[in-house]
Amino acid sequence: MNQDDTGPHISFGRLAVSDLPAVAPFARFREAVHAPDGPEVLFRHAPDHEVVQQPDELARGRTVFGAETPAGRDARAGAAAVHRFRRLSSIVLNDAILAPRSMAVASPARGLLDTALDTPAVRQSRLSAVDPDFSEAGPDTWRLLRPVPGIGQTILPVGGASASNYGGFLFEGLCGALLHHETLGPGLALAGPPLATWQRDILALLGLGDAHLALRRPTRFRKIVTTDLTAWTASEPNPLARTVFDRIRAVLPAAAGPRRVMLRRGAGNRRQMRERERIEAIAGQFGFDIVDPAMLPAAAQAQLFAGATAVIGETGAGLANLGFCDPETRVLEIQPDCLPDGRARAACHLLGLHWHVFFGVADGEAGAAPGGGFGYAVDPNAFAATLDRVFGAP
Amino acid sequence: MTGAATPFGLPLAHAPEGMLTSSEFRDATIFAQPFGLIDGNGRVVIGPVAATPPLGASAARVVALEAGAAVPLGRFLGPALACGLIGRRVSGGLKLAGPALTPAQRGALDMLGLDGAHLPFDHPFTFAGVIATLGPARDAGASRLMRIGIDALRFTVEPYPHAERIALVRPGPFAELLASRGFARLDPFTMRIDDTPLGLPDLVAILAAARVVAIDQAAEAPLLGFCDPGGLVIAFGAAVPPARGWAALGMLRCRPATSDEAGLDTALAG
Repeated sequence: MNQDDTGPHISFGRLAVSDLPAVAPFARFREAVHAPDGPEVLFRHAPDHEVVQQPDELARGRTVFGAETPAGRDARAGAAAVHRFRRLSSIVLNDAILAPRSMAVASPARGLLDTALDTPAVRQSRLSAVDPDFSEAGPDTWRLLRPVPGIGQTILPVGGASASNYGGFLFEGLCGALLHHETLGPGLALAGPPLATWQRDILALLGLGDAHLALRRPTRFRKIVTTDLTAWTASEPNPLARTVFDRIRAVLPAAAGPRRVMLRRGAGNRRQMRERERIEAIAGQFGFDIVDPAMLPAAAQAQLFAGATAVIGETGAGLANLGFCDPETRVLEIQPDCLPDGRARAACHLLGLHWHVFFGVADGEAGAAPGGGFGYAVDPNAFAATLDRVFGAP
Repeated sequence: MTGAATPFGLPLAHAPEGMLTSSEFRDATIFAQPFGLIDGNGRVVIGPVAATPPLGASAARVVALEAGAAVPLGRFLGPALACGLIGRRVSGGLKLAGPALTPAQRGALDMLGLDGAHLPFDHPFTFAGVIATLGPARDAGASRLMRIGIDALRFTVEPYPHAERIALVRPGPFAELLASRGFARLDPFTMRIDDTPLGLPDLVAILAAARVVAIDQAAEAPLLGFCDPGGLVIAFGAAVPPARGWAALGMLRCRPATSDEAGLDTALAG
């Protein structure tokens, strides 16, 4: 049911997730979702967790190869390895707006949910740079620039601000939409921007293919049900993120494929490894097949990683596929030394994979935007020695 | 066995290869007590069961759900429920069928919105088609494919710190020793913690908040899947292998120990 457009220039302050009143048990949250005049509330599934634990393979001099550059906080000599697992809360807002470009959720009555602001792109710049449907009207005040159509429906946003990124889509927010769809009962649609083919494939594998409503502009709904996992959680996943991978694995047949896989980042990527062909040839000598996962359908990517026992990959979205690997898979991440990304390390810990890191030497600082363009070098001799130590002969 | 039309085509050998296969068995009979399945050719698919004549028949196709009072709660919420959910998924949402549910088992289906999707019976019943998901992963103790029901149930609770130390052990002198060390005894069979009755959401919430769990029952090890990361599992006897597996899946530390005072104190001090 379409309602009249809401007039332009709706303004929002900031709404912190914790500003909403908490309810328990989950049955009360479910009632709030389904009652037309139900309260706007949050349900706390899990708090933040910190696990201080030195993973088997994380030790300086053994884990850190390449240029022997310090590997961020965890690889400093003597530093305790801390793994952070992000809290998880569900939220229901009434008469709320979903802006598909940024996946921002806003309530004209309560404000803009701050999960949309908790991303590197917004922190380094501003929301309007990420989502031109918004403008900044003042400190912690935002304004929608166009009239907002209304639909009398309750929806579950699929993913957060990073949903256009393969890793962001799989790890941030999707598990919340999936589990809401399963546990909150019928009648709830998924919503977000028009899906890319790979996103559509993933939803189909999860049994959600028919439930998605594609939005091209900010749209107002009767209710929006979402989670705080739609924020940028790259290096601090919530353990329930793995259920997306488990469920996809559970419906895919086993497929014959290489046991040792080295990922190739697509040609259009802004990070360029020098002498890539030489490095790939060295990996080939250790029995690794070179694969560009972006060239494969989503199911084939999942099957490829499900069958692998050893994976080499550069820091980036392709390593999100580690979620499909079996526990005990050995992983070598090639990380440019200017990148702070910890997603692969966190994912490996979450999934019981053996993570190693090889640092390449970047030509300069990473660009101002996350994943900004630069080149980096991998020393071939050090790389070969690392493969021998980590994987041994094929 | 047949390859009847389903969204995914059966039989479906799930990855990892050989560990789990979903198949459809034609004119198959599900037995309630003990749970079992015999196909239309008289072959025992899940057993052992005594091949008594069915007392009912249906033209429906269903997904077999291992359940009933003889199935430990951990086994039900882990492999039995996961295989039921996988069977529903690969069959396009057929109903679950199996023995009448215990209150806790019924609670699990309620929490997942599946209360209307279960056909219960107490005697052998023949169906035109029965989807069953079988293989070593179902019985191996711990597998990522066996935690999908557990993760969905964990999503529906907020951790409740009833006691930092929880004992999933049989009653007896060792349980009393654990009580003297501050463990609250959680009994998934009677659904009580010490003397307090529990609903399934309470049990999940208490385990999610526990920081130390002692366990001596292998079949209840999947319940460790509800624990939040960073906790400690102390495993005894036959529970050690599956507890080690579920602890690894849940980012928990696991210490095997002998079920006596010295073993317990060493594990707690370690």
